[in-house]
Amino acid sequence: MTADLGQVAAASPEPTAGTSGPEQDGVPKRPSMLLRTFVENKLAVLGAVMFLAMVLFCFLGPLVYHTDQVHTSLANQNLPPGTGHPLGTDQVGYDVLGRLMVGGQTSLEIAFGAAVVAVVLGVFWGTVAGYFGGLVDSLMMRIVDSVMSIPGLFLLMFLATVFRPSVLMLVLVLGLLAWLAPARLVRGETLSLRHREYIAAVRVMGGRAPRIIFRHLVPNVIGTIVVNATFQVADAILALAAISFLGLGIPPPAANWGGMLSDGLNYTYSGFWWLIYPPGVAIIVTVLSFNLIGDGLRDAVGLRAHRHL
Amino acid sequence: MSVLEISDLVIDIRSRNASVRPVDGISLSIEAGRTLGLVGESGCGKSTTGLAVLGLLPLGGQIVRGSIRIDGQEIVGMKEAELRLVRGRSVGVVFQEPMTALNPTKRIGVQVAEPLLIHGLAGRADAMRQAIDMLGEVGLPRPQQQAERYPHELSGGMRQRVMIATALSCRPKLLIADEPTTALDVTTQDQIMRLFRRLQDELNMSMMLITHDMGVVAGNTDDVAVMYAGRLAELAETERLYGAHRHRYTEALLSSIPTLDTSRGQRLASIAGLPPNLGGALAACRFAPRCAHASQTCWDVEPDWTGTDRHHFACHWPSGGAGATVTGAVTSQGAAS
Repeated sequence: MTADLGQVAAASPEPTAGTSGPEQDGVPKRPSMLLRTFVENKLAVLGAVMFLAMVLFCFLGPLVYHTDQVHTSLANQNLPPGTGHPLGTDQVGYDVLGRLMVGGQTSLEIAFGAAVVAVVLGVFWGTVAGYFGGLVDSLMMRIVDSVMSIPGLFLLMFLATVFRPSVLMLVLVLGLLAWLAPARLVRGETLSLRHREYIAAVRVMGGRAPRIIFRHLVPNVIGTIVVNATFQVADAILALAAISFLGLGIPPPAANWGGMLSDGLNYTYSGFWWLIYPPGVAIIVTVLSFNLIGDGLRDAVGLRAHRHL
Repeated sequence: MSVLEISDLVIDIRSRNASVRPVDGISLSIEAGRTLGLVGESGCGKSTTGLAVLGLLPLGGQIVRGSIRIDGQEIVGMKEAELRLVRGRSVGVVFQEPMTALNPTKRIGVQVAEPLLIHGLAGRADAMRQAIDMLGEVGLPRPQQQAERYPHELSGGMRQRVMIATALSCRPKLLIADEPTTALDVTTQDQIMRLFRRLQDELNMSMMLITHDMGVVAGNTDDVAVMYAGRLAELAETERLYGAHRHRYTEALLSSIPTLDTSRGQRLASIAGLPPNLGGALAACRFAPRCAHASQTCWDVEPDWTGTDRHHFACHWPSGGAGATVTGAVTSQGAAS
């Protein structure tokens, strides 16, 4: 009995943990159902596999395939793919395959970080604006509109020139540019949720706004949030590639895919395709995988809402 | 002492280009342990009155005058922080729709425990234990397991039981039930109403039952207040209201209940028309436009709130009475309380 109680109290982070009790009616649990609909979607699974492969490649790859990504080796400049360098070397002699892994780490880290910043800020902004409504809402959403009206790339370039690019700086800059979309999305959803009776019920119990917002509204927009977060990662990878391409990314010897692409383009006319295709393909594969995952999640979440309302 | 005492309550709701008065001079009280049924058609101000007791008004809503006392404590003009102490703790609320009044993303045990946590009446583990007890109390079988379920796994009747458990978890003195059985089927309705009566006895709690269903009122209340277009039409002990009602609106409401004697093919009696738009011009007796007994007096002169000790009404041509009571109008509505 007491064990059950403990389970109940500690259950919220892991929805499936407490369901293995003796008397189950076989009612499918929400997360498992979500997983099932996701798995039924072949493209979404393909996306997940692609993403997993990319992560393994970037983070475990360097442990298997050792390369020197710090010291330049001008003797080995621009070697075409061949023995010793499966994808050739770049203009300062770095092994392209190894660089792809290291660059991928940076790209993925920054993209994830930026997506987290964007989503957390966006959810906070959106739920607060949506819940309070009225003047607060107008004010907060006009701020969103204003920031959104500034061309993103321009702002990125401006910030990138003012601040010294570093991983943390890029996470913040990309995140602070990207939070607008989730803020709008979440605010819209909150507007419809705040009139639900269960929100009114919490007010009637004497609950304060923070409790209503973070304990009751946020869990109900989590579907939207998760889906949006996946797309945010894809967008952040692209945005990072774009600013790196413009030469405002992280300075060498650190690498990222956008920067590699940018460097490689200088040699287009020399026919050094191995400097361009690998990072290009890596960017496309990662972005595509996130879009596929996002689509799959959206369908799974959408179906869930459909079945339960 | 009355647990709830409302006197001369007037509420306005203002929007950009209109102002309506959904509650216009309501006075009523509920004694400890008693149940008051608040009946009337949709849009008569029943729910607005109920929520006003908690200091919650619709957007643009404002209490123009009047007083609401819970256990002698004045609610009108109270600060938000003080009101929060009343909500859920002194007064519990059960809503109409058990489908939408529970958060779909939270386990029901957590939801029942929430008021206790909000008011700091128990720690997390203790609140959960009390929630499980409460779930058992409201008749949920195997409360231990049920507490871990999500609302969508329960039937409508079970969900309404969970709602009741939530509303009662802080053992309030007053329970406001806003159409608690309207969304349920008839047999479940009966179970829920029995549950209310049992819990009321156990907790010595007063209750305001807001409904449009005269059948539910009949067996489950001590007093009935009939509301029409923001005003009280009639207020009496339940038995008396059914046996010797005076107001023509009450009469019309009661005659629209089908009985077993109603023969096949016979049309059910209904009240023609709709309740008036509370933003527009109103007849002096608000029911006059729809009343079969209305005279010019009803359109021009506001009927007095008259009657004896426990039976009040406001009608110029009461049923079972002698006729117009226009002359000598001194007391204004609400003053009689």
